[in-house]
Amino acid sequence: MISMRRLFIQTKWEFRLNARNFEQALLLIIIPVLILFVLTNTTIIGGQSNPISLGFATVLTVSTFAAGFTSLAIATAFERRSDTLVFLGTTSLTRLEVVLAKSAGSFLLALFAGTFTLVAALLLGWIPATGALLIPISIALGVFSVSGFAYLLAGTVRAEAVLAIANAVFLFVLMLGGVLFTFGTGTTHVLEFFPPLALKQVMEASVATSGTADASIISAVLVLIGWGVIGHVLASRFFKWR
Amino acid sequence: MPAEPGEPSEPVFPISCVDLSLIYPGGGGISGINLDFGPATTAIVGNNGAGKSTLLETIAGLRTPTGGQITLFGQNPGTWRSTGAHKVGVALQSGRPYPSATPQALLNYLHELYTSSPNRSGAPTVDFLVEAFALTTRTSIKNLSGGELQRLKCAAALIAGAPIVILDEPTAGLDPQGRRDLYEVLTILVPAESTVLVSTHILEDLESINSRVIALKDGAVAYDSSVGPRTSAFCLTFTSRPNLDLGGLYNALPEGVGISEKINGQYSITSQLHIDAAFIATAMNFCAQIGAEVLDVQVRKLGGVIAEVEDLLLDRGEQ
Repeated sequence: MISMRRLFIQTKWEFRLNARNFEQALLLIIIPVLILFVLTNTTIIGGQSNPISLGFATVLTVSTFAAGFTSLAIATAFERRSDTLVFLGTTSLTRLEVVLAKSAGSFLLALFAGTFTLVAALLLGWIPATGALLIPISIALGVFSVSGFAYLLAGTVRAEAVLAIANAVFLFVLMLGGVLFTFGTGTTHVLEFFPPLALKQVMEASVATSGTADASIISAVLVLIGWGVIGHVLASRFFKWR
Repeated sequence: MPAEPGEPSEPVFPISCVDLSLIYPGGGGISGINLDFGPATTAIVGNNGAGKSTLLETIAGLRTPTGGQITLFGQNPGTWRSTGAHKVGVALQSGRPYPSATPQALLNYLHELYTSSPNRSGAPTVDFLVEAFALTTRTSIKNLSGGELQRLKCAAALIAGAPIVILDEPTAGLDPQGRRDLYEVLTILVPAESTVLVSTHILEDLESINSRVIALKDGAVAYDSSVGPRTSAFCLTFTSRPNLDLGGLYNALPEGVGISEKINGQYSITSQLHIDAAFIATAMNFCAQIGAEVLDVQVRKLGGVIAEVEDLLLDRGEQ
């Protein structure tokens, strides 16, 4: 049973704690905005008709992944180490409320970071279409697709190791997940079945179009939901609260 | 518990443990705990590893028993959670929750979380708790001293105004004055009708708590001050060579004494009757007859609960 009031209070508390954290600001705002500037002022993306929208979609993918996976995994792992999670067990919150509030806090964090990059993108000449209204939904979908794996990592591995692994995965995904660099058709077809590229495709559809969904976008959405379900099922099976 | 004639059911205790066990995979834990706790304060004492935290965390619903049953007001500990009524305020021994937040922020957040809880009416305000527990409000929790952290945890346990309060080693790491001060504040702040469990491994704390005392040893209840008469009133201790013939000594002494070898060569004889000069002479004669040297002979009157528990917990070398 979920109390919306408790969930709201807990989400607000989670978001507040996250937003005050300087490393989070670096990971979620400064790095994505820098990437946006680099992407739109260099020729890495060749032959694209609208590089700013592509750059914006890439950066939203990066900040969503950073909030939904890296930040969430690290924060949860350290809360586990400090027995904050056990402390939450002594409050009136249920486990489901604790987890939902964490995910919701990550979503708000990604949304918060997204508004910074949105302003940067507008300054760089991005012209929004009606599809932009779908950006929050795309962010939510992106957070859901990886947050289960953040919990799985945080709930099974030592906090210091989580710090290293979550950051390594973040870099790995940026470089090799099809987010920053594009690969040949064969590799791309494989990467489409994983959250980073699927999320980038969904983001591109939100940022660059008027929100029309073709078959490839629907399959990307299904990929994100599928990984989300797998991650959360695994996490609920293996997560250790202390 | 016998039901009064005409009563529809047995009395419902705030906390009731029936044959409660929690055995860890690697061994240790608690087993066969049968205890009811009424609305009063109970001190749980025991050495490190005796099972105090395991018992308290199981009552708080943080651990699932491997056997037996625990009920709070007749219900499973998890039940009240889904109804949103906060029944148990807990201060855990381990952990440093939300290290990056300030004590004030943590208490404000908890206060908000419990605002509509049914017990709220009698609960203290954040300002009151900050003042009563002398909490620093601006320092991050990660920078609090051990004593400040304990006081913050106690404040967090009381903020909901829950009818059951569980404090696991709240005086750990405090100096004697700090311990007395903390108990003084708790005595003032905890409503009289609350069911309070306080654990400690420092027996002097019992002087400040003045309550029912339960001693745990190796995961089982070794002593409960609410049950039965006091077992011993006087104690004769002495040092001699190890492995004396305790059976022979027992036969030589008046009936009804308890004899044990506590640590190698340290003996303790307890008796309900007064240990007088004749009693001592009998014991010493016995030792002289078997050629055992005797040192450090002491007789003391056991000062009630503390001495009894002390006797019990120090009793590690007993066969």
